[in-house]
Amino acid sequence: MMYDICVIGSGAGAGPIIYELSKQGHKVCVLEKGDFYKREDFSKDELAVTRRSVYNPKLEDEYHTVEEYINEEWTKFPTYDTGWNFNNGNLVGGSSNFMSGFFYRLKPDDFKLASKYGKIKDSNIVDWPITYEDMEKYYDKVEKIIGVSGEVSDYKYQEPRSSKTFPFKALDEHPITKLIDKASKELNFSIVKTPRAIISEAYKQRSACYYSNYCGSYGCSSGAKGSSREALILPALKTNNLTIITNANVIKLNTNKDKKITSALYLSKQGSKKEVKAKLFILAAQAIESSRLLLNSKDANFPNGVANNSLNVGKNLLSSSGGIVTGTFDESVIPLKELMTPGLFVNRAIKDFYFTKEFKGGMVEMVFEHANPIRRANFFKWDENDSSKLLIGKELQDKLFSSFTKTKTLNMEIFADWSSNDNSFVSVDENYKDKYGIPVANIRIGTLKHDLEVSNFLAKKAVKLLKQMGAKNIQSNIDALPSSNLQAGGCRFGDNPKTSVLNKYCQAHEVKNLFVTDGSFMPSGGSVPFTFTIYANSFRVASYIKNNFNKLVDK
Amino acid sequence: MKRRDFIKFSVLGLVLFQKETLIAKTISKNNALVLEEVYEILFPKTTTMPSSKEFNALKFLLSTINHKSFLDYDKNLVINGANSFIRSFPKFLKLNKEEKKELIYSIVNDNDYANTWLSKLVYFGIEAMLADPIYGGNTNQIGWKSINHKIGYPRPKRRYGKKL
Repeated sequence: MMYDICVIGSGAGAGPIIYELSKQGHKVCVLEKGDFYKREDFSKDELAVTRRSVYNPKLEDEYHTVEEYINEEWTKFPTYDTGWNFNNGNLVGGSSNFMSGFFYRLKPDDFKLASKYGKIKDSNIVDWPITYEDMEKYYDKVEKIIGVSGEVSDYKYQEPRSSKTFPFKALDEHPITKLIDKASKELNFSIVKTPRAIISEAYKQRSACYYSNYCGSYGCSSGAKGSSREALILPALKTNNLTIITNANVIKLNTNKDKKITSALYLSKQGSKKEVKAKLFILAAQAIESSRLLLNSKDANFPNGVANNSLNVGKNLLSSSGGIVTGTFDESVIPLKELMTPGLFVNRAIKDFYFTKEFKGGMVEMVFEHANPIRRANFFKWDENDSSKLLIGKELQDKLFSSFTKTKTLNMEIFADWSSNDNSFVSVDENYKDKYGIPVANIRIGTLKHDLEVSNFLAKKAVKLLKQMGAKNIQSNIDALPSSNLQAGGCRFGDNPKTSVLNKYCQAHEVKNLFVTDGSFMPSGGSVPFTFTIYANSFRVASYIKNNFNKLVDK
Repeated sequence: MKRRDFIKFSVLGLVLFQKETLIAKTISKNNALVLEEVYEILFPKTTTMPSSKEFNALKFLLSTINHKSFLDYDKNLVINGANSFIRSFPKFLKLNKEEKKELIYSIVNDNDYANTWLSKLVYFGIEAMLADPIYGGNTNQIGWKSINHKIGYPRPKRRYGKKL
């Protein structure tokens, strides 16, 4: 069968395309590497979800290599040795099933960083080929369709909005917010409330959030979380225009002499090779895997990989660096009963330093450490004063009891912009293959000193606030390493085919019937998680395809 | 005597740790007896916390170690570590409670291999104490109750995230 559209992946970058085009009447086929889990399949099973990572392939079977600069040379480590997992969920809906859902828009100046601050030494920072105004209506659309709960905050860098309020009222807040707000006022920090892609009231087929105490990293059991699966794919299935092939591991895109993609070749669960033909192909497998697929799709038309005759695929990979500052709270500053309230959201951020006069700053997001007791307890097994000393026996047991019953740790997550540079990229290496014999993605994670300096600048603000709140045991763990679940770049969009992979509609410059709609298109990531922008951009691209479908597929 | 045993465990352990590449298959009956005793030293009953026997640390380990999601490295370390420990301290099971405790405390932070092996056992002990009881530990939620943990719902009906 010849489909109108074949979508590879089903997460945040894929969902809007699937939703909009199947509703318009196009026959859409989704190739999803993982399985289709229903809402009732999800549970709060820490062992399965976070300790055994059951929604990802076994690392020994499907891994990455990571290149770090050590002793003045780039050294490659397979992730099965380090346990650093860059797979973020192989299932319908992808990693959007597991997000914490704090949804911040980029700000107008995020779209023109090069113009505003100039090019940082050794960086490849460029302005986007579109503006905030081009994106605004799609951010607004996401808030309504995916469902965003919150309260618009009044602070210096609040971006312009076409809707005055969020469509859903703010989620219930943890009592510690009183302490945060008081300390913020004393320090003259603005109080910024976090919008979340979690609905606070029932909407269509989705129930409201029930404050399970297990949100980030877990599939949602009420449908409140705005995953691509809940908000977009399930409604799209009702059109009868959507076919989802699960357990389909796409290994190559085949092209013809016209430099168009003719089919996607995939391995089925049983290991047999199969093909899907379509008029238009959408790639949204998350940034690293999308670049990998293009680079591995070599043929006579594209000897360096599909859409890569310009040698730009994989370049300028982005993540979010910064690290974390933590502070511990006990009943000396907040009644124990209030401190131990489970499930409610902190929903606060420091955003007064998002921009500074001299440099692009960033954001500090506040969140209690996740409920996961195994993960927490594992930290407590080491002596606080000597991290190599293992605690056992009564000493360990007493520490577990007192830490869990008398304290709670607030995390201040630092979000600095990741400066694109020549040493941050995805490549493939014939020497490292997955269990199917396909070269894995190599991720070089070079960062600029500047990014670390910005992170330290932001960390100082976080420490200041924690001190003002009366936190104990404040610790900064600032680094320039990427967050493996925050991936963008690799197929940046731009007007110049010599320096970008995609045009401003995320259509490949070199392949007329290929669009890439995960975070790969982003030239810079802003100082926020990428998911909101990926959703909004995918709706923007969907709108373009809807309006130009016949022209795009015209022979 | 202890000094000699300590050196023996250290050298033998390091050799095994570095050279053994075969995946250990399973926990023998003797290994299980030793592990159960070691676990009682790592997680003794206190006024506030349950003992390893109460939260079924050994049952949890036996029930999970052969699942495909259990890392080969961890499985090797747990089983080979136990073998090495038994070879180094063959009379361990015959020692009285205090002597056993003294022995474990004497090696835990003075011997790299012992530290690595015991920290892994502590980790899986924590899993046994705080994972859902569906995996064989945390008997009657005794671990969760001891630390006043607020359980997340729904709890799993099937192990390892299998679809219903």
